[in-house]
Amino acid sequence: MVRPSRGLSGNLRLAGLILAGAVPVLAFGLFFFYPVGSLIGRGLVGPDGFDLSGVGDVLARPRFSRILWFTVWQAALSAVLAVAVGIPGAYLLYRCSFRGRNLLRAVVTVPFVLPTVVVALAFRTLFAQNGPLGSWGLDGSLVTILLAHVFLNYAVVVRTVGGTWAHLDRRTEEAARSLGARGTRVFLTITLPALGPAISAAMLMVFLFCATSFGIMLILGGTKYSTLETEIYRQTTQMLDLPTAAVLSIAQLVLVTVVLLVAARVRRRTEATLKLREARSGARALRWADLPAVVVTAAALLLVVVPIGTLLVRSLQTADGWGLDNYRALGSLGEGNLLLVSGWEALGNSVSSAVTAAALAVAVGIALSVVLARRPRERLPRRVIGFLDGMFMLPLGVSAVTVGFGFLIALDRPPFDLRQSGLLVPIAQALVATPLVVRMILPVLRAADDRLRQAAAVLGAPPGRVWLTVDLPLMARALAGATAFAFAVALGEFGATSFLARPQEPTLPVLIGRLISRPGATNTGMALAAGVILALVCAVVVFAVDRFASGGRRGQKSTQAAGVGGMGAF
Amino acid sequence: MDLQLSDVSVAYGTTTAVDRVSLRVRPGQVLALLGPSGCGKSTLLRAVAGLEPLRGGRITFGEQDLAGVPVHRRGFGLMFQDGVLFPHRTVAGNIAYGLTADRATRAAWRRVDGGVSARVEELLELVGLSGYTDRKVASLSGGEQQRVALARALAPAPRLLLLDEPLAALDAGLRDRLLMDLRGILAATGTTAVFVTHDQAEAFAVADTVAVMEAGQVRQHGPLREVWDHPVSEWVARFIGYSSVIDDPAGGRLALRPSALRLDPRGEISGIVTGVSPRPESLLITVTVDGWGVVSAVGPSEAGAAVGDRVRLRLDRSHAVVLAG
Repeated sequence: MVRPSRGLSGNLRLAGLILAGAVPVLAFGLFFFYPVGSLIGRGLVGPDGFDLSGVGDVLARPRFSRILWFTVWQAALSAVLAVAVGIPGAYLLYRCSFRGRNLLRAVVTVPFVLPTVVVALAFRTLFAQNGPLGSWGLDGSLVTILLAHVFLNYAVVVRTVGGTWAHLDRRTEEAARSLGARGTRVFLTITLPALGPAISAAMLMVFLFCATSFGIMLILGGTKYSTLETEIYRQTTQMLDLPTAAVLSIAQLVLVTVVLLVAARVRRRTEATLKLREARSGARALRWADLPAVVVTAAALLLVVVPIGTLLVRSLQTADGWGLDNYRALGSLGEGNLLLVSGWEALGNSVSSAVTAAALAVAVGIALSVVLARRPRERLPRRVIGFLDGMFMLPLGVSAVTVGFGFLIALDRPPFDLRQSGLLVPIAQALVATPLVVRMILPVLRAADDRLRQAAAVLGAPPGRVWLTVDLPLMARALAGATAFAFAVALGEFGATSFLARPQEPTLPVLIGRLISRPGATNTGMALAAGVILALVCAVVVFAVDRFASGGRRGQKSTQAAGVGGMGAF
Repeated sequence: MDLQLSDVSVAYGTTTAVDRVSLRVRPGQVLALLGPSGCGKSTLLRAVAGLEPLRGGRITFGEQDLAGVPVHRRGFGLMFQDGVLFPHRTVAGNIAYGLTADRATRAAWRRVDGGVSARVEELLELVGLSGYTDRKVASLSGGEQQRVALARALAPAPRLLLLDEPLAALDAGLRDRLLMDLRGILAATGTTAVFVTHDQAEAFAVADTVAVMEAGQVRQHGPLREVWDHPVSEWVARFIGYSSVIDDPAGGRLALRPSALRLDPRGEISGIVTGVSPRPESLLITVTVDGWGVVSAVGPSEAGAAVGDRVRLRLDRSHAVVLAG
C-alpha cells in the first residue's frame, strides 16, 4: 500500500497551520502558563525544595472549606437564578414578535458588557443605607451579590438559549401537537430537551463567571463574604502569604478545569445541533398565554434598568441639587489629592490599553480559531486540536488576580522584564479577552460549509486567497462583534489590572476602586461619574459595532451563525 | 487530453471507499459515474478534484501526473449537489470568482475582449440567466442556484468539469429541464466532464460512456449503448433499469425491462398478481410466476387486474437481454 501523498503545497499548508498554532501557544506559554506556574511554584517550593506540607495545612483550615463551599454554592445559586429568569426572556425575545423587540434585545445585552466595578458600584449605590432602596436593608447582603450576578449574566442566558430557540424547527412542536400533546407537554417533552444543551451551556458559563467573580465580591461582599478569588487577593496583598495564595490558586484551577471539561462536552453537542437548523422558525405574535413570561421579563428589565438608572441619577446629584459637578471633578485629583492622575487621564489610559489589548486578543484569537476550526480525519491531530481547544479556555476561569500577581513576579526580571514597558496591563487584559474572541469566531468558522472553501480552491484560489475571500467575509460580523467585545472586556478588566497598573498610570476601573475605598462625598461622586463614563464607552462601542456590522449583511447564514455564536455560545 | 485513472484507491481510516478503480475519459466526452449512494462515486470525483488524498494508484491528465498538484492548480471545475454558492457575493461575484482567483488568472482574463464582466455576461446567457448579474444568491430558487453554480464552474474554461449529482436536489420537472440544458451546454462548449449520479435516466441523458460502481469498485465501464445492451451481471442490469432477471426458458439468464412482459390473455406464461400500480398511460403490475419468482409486467391502463387474480403474460424478447456468463 502506498502512503498518501501530500505534495509540496500540502506541506506548505501544514507549515502555515503549525505557524498559526505556534503564535498562540507561545503567547499563552509566556504570558499565562509561565506566570501562573511561577506563582504556584512559589507556593509549593519551600526553602528546602519541593514541599507539599503547606497544601494539606491550608486545605485543613476551616476557613478554607468555608470559602470553597461558599464559592461553589453562591455560583450555583446565581446560575440557577439566572437561568430561571433568563428562559422566559429568551422565549419572549427570540420566539415572539412585537414592537420594540430589537431594542429590548439590545437593552438586556448592556449589563454583560458593563465593567464589574461599575455594576458593583451601581448595586452598592442602590442598596446603600442612604440609597433609594436603603430601607430594604440589603446593603452588603448575599441577596445583593446574587442580584448583581443575575444582572451581569442575564444576557448570557437570554442570548445562548434564545439563539438556539430561534432556530428550533417549529414543525417538531407542531407534529407533537398534532399527535395530541397539550402546550405544557409539548414544552416539557419537545422544546425543553431540544434546548437542553443550550441551557446547560449557559448555566455552566454563568457558574464559571460567578465562581471567579472578583469586582462584585470585593466591593459588595466586603469582609463578610469571601470567595476563592477575593481570598487569593487578600492573602497576596494584605497577608503577603504567597504559599496560601498558591494553594488557593491551585484549588481554583482544579475547580475551573472541571467546569470547563464539562462545558466542552456540552458545547460539542450544541455545535453539532447548530448545523441541523435552518431559519424555518418564524416568531409569532404575543398571546395571553405568554403573560407569565412577560411578567418575569419585565421584572428582569427592572433589575437591569434600576441600578443603571440609579447610578446615572446619583452621578448627577451634587451637594446643592442637580449638576455636572461630579463630572467636572473628574478633571481633579480627588478630595485630599487622593489620586496621582485625573479621571480623564485614567480614561485615556484605559482606552489606549484596551485598544492594544483588543488588537492582541483579536490577532491571537484569529490565529487560534483558524487552527481550532480544522477537523482532521486522523486521530492524533484531532486530539491535539481538542486539547488546545480546552487549554485556551483556561484563562477564562483562572483567577485574574492569580494572573496579575503571576505577571508581577515572573515578568519583572530578565529574561522577560516587561514591568517598565507598560505592556503588562494590555497583555493581561488580552489574555482575559482572547478566550471570548475565540468563542465568538469559532462557531461561525465551524458552522461554515467546508465545501465553500473547496469550491474556491477548485476555482483556482490558493489557500491564502481562500481564507481572504471565504473565511474572512463569513466571519466578518462575528469578528467585528468580537473586537468590540474584547475592547469592552479589556476596558472593564479589574482583577489583573489592579495588580499591574503602575500607580502613576491607573485605568479608570482601578481609579474607581481607589475612590470608593476612601471616604468623602466628592470621591464617591467622582466614582459615580467615572462609572457612568466607563459604562457609556463600553455600551457605545459594542452597539456601534453591532449596528454597523449588521447593517451591511442582513439575512445571511453567517449573520444567523454570528447571532447564535455571539457572546453566549460558550 | 485524456483523464486517466489507474488503480485508484481512497480510504477513510480503515474503510476503503474507492478500491483500485481504473477509468479513462477522452477529450470532449462525458463519463457518467453511476451507482447507489455510498458506492464511492462522489469520493472518486473528489479525489480527481484533489480534495481527497489517494491511498494508492495514479491519476493523470494528458501527460501530467496529478499527484502533488494542489486543488487550485488543477484547472478543473466542480459543481456540488446544492450549488455551494458564496453567500456573501452576488451572482456575478460568484461567476467571476474563478476568473480572478489569482493574479495571473485575473491578468489573463482582463486581456480578453471585454474582460471579466463580458465573460460573466456570456455565461449568464449560456445558462439562461441574463439580467441576474447583481442579484443576491440568497434570493435565487434552487434551479437558479444550480445554473449559477454551473456558470461559475464553466467560467474559467476548465480542462475538465466534475459534476457531483448536480440535479439531485431539484424537483422532477425542473430536473428534466435542466438536464436537457446541461446536455446542450456541455455539447456546445465541448467540455470534457465526469458526471456523478445515482439515477440511470440522468446518466443516459447526458453521458457518452458510463461506469457503474458498487462498493468502491467499477462493475462495468463502456459506451452507453453497450452497457445498456449488455449488462455484465444481474446487479448491473437491475441498477441500470432492468426490472426482473429470470431463467431463460431457452437457457441462460434473461434481464427484462418492465415492458418485456405484457398482459395478454393468449400469453404463454401464467402467474398471480401481487401488486398493482396504475401509471398515466399504462398499468404496472407485479406477478408471481412459478419458477421465476416475482416479476414486473405492464398492461393497458384499462386492464382490470387486481391483487390475487390469475393472469397470462407474453414475453417480448426485443425488450430483454441475455446476461453474459
